[in-house]
Amino acid sequence: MLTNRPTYQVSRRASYLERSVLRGLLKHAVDPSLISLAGGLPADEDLPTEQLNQCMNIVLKRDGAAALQYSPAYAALHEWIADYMLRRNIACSPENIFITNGNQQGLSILSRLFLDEGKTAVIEEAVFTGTQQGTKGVGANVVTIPTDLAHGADVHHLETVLEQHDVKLMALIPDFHNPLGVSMTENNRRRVAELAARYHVPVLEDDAYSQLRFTGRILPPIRAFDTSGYVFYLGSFSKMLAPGLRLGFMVIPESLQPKITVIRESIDLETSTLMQRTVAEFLHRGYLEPHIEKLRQSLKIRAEALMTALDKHLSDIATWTVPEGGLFTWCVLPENVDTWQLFDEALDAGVVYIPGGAFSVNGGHKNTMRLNFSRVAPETFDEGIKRLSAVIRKAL
Amino acid sequence: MRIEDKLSERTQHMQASAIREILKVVAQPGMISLAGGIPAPESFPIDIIRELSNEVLDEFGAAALQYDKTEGFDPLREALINYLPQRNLVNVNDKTLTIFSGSQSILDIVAKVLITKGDKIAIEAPSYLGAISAFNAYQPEYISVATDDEGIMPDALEETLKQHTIKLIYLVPTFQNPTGRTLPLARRKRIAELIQHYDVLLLEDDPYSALRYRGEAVSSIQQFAPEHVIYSSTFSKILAPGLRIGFGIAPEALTHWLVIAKQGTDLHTQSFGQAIAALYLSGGYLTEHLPRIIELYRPRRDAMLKALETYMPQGFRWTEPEGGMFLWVMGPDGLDAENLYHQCVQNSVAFVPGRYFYFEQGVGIETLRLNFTMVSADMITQAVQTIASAAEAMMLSNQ
Repeated sequence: MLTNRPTYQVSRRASYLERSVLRGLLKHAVDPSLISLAGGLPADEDLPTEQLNQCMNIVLKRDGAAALQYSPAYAALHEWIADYMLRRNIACSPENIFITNGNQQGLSILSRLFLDEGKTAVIEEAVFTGTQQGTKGVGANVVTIPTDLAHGADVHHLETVLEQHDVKLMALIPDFHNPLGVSMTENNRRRVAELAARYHVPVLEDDAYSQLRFTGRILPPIRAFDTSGYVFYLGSFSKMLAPGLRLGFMVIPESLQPKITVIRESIDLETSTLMQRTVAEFLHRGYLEPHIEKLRQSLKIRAEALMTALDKHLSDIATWTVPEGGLFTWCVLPENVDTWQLFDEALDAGVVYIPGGAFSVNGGHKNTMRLNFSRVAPETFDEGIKRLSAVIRKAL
Repeated sequence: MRIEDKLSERTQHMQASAIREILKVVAQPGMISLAGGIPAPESFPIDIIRELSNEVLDEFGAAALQYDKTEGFDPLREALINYLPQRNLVNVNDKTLTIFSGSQSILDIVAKVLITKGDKIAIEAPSYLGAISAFNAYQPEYISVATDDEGIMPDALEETLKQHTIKLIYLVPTFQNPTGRTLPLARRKRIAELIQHYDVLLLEDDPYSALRYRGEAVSSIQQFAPEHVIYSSTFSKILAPGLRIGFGIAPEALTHWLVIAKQGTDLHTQSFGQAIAALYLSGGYLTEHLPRIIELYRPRRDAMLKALETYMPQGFRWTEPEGGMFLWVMGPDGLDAENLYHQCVQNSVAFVPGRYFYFEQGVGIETLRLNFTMVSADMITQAVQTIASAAEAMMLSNQ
């Protein structure tokens, strides 16, 4: 009797969850024997390792036990972020800032705040799996909108959905979309803010990449056009600084601070004060801007090398988005090519990518792939795309 | 239309706990607070952490700053797999162990994976409130199981399991918050039998067992029923809470789901803190530092018991925990510990009235939770004296 095998019946909510294919592929992304176009990680040499270490030393020496105790959110970090948001045309004060363990947590908190089981959320049809997990994870019914590869999320379609459904939350990635690499036009950002106000639907604006722009002008966020209080901006230090810090923030109405604090405390209390203080010190010392500038240069060189390689090896059979920033390009192959089926062969050939279908909410995009350019050495792209091209051509 | 009108149903009944409010009041300067539940700052190994934070980059390089696996930073997982069997835990391996962003996060993610609205969770009363707040987000029903001086009563638990379909049992078996009670070995074995017999999962929350000042360690329940127990613990009490690192051991089939749910919640726990914790364990620093924490807290616990013995009026009883951070004082019937709290605050001494640890109203009116880790032995004696005099005065005026 006592040795019976237990039955684990999971919650209805858990049954909606799917393991992210991306997380499973992370081991390939960091395997040095492969040419990896699969990850979403910065190159190790692009991380400000020494400076972060210096800042942590300063913090531990200066703050002692206070840097290690349970603590409320760190005021200096709130102030810096509020100031940074002002520079991005978002009217805001430190009381509007809420620190998170990265944007995934922000997604998770706002999904809980606005979505009940069976209620409707709008997301893009091809989108970062974390966006899907955040909304589906609370049992929401997901309605999708298409994303134009030149102009970003289809705002006209969005309006139709808002007209037809009782939408409780819409989640968008306006800058250097993951996985598509495209950014929304300024005009469309303004229109999204207007739609949010008109239909009274909160917008979750997930901005992990806007600062990683190496061509053209950084565009104002959707939140900059918001006059209704319906736009929730999520920002992150993961791409600007280092992903392993797990430090992000939200810009929220001050009136929602108590409610969001209660939700956050029920999830995991608070963000590591040692990490908050270390990052605040980094920002205070003015290390961020020179670091980002260096990062942009590094990404630019890599993106150009990838574009050159794609032009050389795939231009007759494929199209792709030309990134002005961020970490990704989206490559569209002939209709009859299935990038899931090619994955193992490509792996054998020593090159990995993410099949575009992994991002598809409705199971499409089988002939697409996401290519990351932030981690591979510039001179390696040519060989990587050459190998990829050979694998694809065999399947044609 | 206000944004407040757009909030989900599940968030409507989530609100700040009364204890949070109390903790704000008692943070005033000059207050001797026995109200908090946090480690003493002088227990933190600041010098060790400074040294380790420099070693992290030499040892692990950029890996300590990169995206990492949801399951946790491998060097920390390896260090825990080596260390945890010493704490009477079994089946600790890379398929059962997961790192979380503090043990609060385990409570949330376990509930996310298991609880559908209306599912029943059996809990002891009084209980740890952080767990209730984590579970509330998933809208369970609670079934309270009777306790006595030794903690939850197995016969009462069996009765509950017969009468209800219980999805999860939540217990803090060792140095419980708020009572300080420890479930004796015989009861642990009996509970292990019950959960296997009735095929029910138990969440064994164990933040405190490493902080033992007297007596012998008691086996975890997990050891007797590893396929039915999710075990949860933390570095907050043995290293530092500011790193926000907890860990869980769960049956392999369930760990699969916990990891998926964690991906959606926070992708992974921050890597740098995990790297520090890894070196703290693998470098033998925990073995070196833990006795210092115990030596810091033991005289405080002893002083509190001695002061209660010396000063408290007739009719009061209290638990005598051999470890942890709290003890539980039970006043005579008719004593309102909330009134006592207000009297004491006027005399610059604070504690938490016990009623706030019950989810039912009107229970535990005469009880108090006292923390003995935050202030010195002398201040503890002084604070207990103040509580005792105020209680005596209240009891006289009630007569």
